[in-house]
Amino acid sequence: MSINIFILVSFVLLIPLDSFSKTKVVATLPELKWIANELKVPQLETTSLLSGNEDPHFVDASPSFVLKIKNAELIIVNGLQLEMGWIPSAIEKAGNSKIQFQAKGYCDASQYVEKAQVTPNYNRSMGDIHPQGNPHYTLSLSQMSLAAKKIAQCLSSIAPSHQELIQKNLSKLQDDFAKKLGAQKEKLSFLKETSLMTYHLEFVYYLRDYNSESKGTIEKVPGVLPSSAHLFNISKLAKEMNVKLVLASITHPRKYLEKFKSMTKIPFIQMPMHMTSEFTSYWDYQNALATEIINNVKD
Amino acid sequence: MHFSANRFKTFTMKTLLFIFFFPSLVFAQNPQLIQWFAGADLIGTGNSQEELSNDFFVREFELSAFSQIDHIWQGSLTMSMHKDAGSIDQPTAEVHEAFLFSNQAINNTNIKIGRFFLGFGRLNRFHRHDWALSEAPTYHEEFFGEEAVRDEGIEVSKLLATDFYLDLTMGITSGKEFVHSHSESHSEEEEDHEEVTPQVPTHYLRLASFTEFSTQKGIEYALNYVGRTDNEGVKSQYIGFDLIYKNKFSKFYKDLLQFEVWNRTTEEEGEIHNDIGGYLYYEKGFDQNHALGLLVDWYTPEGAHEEEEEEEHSHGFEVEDYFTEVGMVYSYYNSEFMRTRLTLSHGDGLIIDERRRDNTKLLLQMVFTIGAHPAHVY
Repeated sequence: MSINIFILVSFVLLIPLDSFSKTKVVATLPELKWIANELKVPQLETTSLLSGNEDPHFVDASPSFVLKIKNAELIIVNGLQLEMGWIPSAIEKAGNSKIQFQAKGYCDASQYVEKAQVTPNYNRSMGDIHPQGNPHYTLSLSQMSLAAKKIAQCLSSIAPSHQELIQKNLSKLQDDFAKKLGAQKEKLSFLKETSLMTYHLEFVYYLRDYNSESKGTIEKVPGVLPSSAHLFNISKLAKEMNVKLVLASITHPRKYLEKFKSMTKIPFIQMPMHMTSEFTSYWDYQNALATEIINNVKD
Repeated sequence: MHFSANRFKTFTMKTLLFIFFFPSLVFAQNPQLIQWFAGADLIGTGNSQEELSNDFFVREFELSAFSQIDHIWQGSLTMSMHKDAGSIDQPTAEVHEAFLFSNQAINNTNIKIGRFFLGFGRLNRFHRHDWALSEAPTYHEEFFGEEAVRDEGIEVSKLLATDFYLDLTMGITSGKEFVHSHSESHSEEEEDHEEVTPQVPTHYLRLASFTEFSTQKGIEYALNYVGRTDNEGVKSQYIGFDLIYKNKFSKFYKDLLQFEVWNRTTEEEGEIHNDIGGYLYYEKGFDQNHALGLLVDWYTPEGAHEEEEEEEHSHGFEVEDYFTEVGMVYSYYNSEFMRTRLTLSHGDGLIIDERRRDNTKLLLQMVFTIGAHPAHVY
């Protein structure tokens, strides 16, 4: 009897603890994590490296990120070089062969995105440009639907036994994206006729969803603080074009937006560019963006 | 590997031919195959002590290529040329680093084999153009040279299987070279490998952890040990603590605190010396362009070592009992790839013409990089 207990205990102790653990999926952005959750794969543990309050271009490769990805089965990145300043070095340090660039566990969610502002002939005099395309597609409902398709493929590859379930949940999610886009288009239909400006280039995909575009940026060169001369020129242009609102991120320098406002009397709004923890779903986040724009344009 | 002045021109020609023609052949096939990086560090110095050199010069030029070799290994090659303040010699060109690297051979492990800067401390792990300081603190120059200790060997860095971040780095290198100097006299000495083969090779260990306050705010701290016994039986042991705190907002650090303290114990024919030194640097960023810093640097050798008494450092002075320096640093970050830094410092405790003096120094540094600079972890 006692030898049987010993064998049983030994057997249990020899089983790797990982056998009981969930499959770890790490996304760089909270809205990419949200998509992975919506695909409802059983035994999946999802984490986002960023909280959504940061500017993901300029995050440092924190050791806490290394800790989170060292045993991950899958890493989902925004791609289009948004995270190029930190995710390659975090992956390198983690030494996890499953999530190396182009391994099965490396998922670039931008693969099916309809890229805007692709700039093949790029040099650094053009500022913070992403030659493969503008990376800020996660603000757009239409492009997030395409990102969901890629994420579903990646999840299927690491959990092939749930492929059918993932496909079913993807179809539902893509339907939801289409319905939400339809509803938002009604709410934001005035954007087609409204002149807007942006501080940087984040709203390209968002405005494209509503047949709108920015009339210019407060930055003269992407990533470079605007000079007084440029602020003067862009203020003049904004007044001539009857600009109603400037859209900016919470990470953009407020003093330049304030200065622009004092020169033009045109209001600005600073919004989180990613789904922060104050939102329970991506739909809530989209509602908040729309409400903020509606309230400020109508005022 | 140092080059004589006569071989310098040949080397430069070959390097230039390589730089200009090889990349065009490579990029024609696959632009992702090799990544190139080049950087330069321009320095201007002015000292209140007339005996110390005032100069404006290109201190360092670096050219680096790195790429995946196969599915397991990467290769990294860095050539550089250096010049010291006040020197009229041709800049010396050298193989700065040449190593194999893998993060896939063993899970959660980074391996380096070849010639590289040794992975201990804070400053020693980074190339000088990436430092938060314009020049090495005095103790660092005494202990580890003007830039960093680099040598040939193997280094393994392993993330331990803990729920918190714990990174153990261990290395063993030949020990033939320890303090990395660019002076001609030093290079001649180094060429005689028979003389410099150590009794115990350089071996080191770094145990680092990290506490996160938010995704943009955290503190990394580490304990370090370095040991070596040189060819004459002088046993040196270094124990150090390094720390960095970062509070980042968008493109800039609202707060950056960097600190290192090191103790060196030297044992020679039964006589033991303890030398202690360190620095503290705090930088406050105002926006993505402007930052102001405060630097405190101190070094207290217990007793002057005979060989050090004769040695003049790039700071241009000797230290007998103690040295302290306080500096204000203004940094203008022109962009992500260029910065201009102005340091005004006052040092006390240096020996010039056998007299203790103080010195006020103005230091201008301009650093720029072109190409694909590999990102660092924290």
